[in-house]
Amino acid sequence: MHDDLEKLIGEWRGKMRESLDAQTVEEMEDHLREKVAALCAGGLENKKAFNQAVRELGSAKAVGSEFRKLETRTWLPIKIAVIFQCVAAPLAIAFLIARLRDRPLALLLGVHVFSVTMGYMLALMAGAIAGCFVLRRCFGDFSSTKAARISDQTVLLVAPAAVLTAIGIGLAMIWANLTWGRAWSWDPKEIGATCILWWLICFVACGRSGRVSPHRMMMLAIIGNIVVSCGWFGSNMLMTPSYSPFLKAQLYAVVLVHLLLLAVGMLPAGCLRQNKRGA
Amino acid sequence: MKLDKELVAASSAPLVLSILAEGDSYGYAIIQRVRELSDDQIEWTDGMLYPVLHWLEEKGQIRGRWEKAGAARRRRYYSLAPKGRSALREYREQWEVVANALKRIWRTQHA
Repeated sequence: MHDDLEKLIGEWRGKMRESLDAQTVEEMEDHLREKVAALCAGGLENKKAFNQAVRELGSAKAVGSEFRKLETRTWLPIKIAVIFQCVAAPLAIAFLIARLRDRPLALLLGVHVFSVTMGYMLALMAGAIAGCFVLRRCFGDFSSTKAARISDQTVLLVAPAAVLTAIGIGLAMIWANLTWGRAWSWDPKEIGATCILWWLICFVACGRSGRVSPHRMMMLAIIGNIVVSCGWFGSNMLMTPSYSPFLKAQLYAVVLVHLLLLAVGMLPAGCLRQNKRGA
Repeated sequence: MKLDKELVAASSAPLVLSILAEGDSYGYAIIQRVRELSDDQIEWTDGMLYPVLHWLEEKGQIRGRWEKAGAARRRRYYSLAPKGRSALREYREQWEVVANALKRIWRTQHA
């Protein structure tokens, strides 16, 4: 009997997950179980109690539609990231046209540089959003709906980052083949770009799977910034023996800051608010 | 008596805030308290409470936290935040204005 009820609840959970995030479904499942227990205590048998409780909770479609009505503005850091990217793109195009105009295969090289730069920048924006998320979380947890929305929108930023990076790598291989007679030479830049691309693909896959919580997705995005920084600037560092010590120190500082953000992200939500009250 | 949908929707936030002003609570218990307060006249589809709770949490009027509820389950409890107390005071003033105006006119119409 109990197994039948668990099976029914499991099926209900699956249907609700089609419209709602995991934490909201978990919250409503607790409600469902309380309701079923109360109805069974009143004399109803398991299956009837479950059906009545589900009816009174409402269908996934109806509840999901109510949640969507309340979806409010896009979180400010995400807006800023998108605006920044929209401003940076034409500036990057103008800069590349000016720099590469007289170089052979200028268009190919220009599109490669543009794709890779925009891809890396989108990935770094996602990490910056995640940094804002963990810092803001120190003052109070996000509602599960808002956290899920921020996570989904961050994944939406990273998906084109992966596509642009892949295009950039492909064009680089074509350019290298035409210029040097070899598409791939295992240099640090190529390896760095490939690592970044794999990371971005894994990040998007985790986000789309629905099995990783929004908080963990944000932590992954912060790790992503370390991967992108090392893959981009670290590879430049390795390829240029006379790389400025000042720039090297900047890269180490960037990695350290992100490690600190990861540590902050592991603190309990609202920890700074509790500390403020206690002081 | 079936209450107007708009009236039920408009009263949901002040009801939730008022119930949380009595003490921390969670979804199922809030629904039970609403039924008790209204003698079962206010009928919420249980699931419709959760968008309201999440909306109030996003506005900073209530705070949610997870606590253990049994061996392998968690329950989300809500508490009233300072912003919620101010919002509740405003709701109370607004509803009292409306209730007093209606009482006055209905009293004269009955007389």
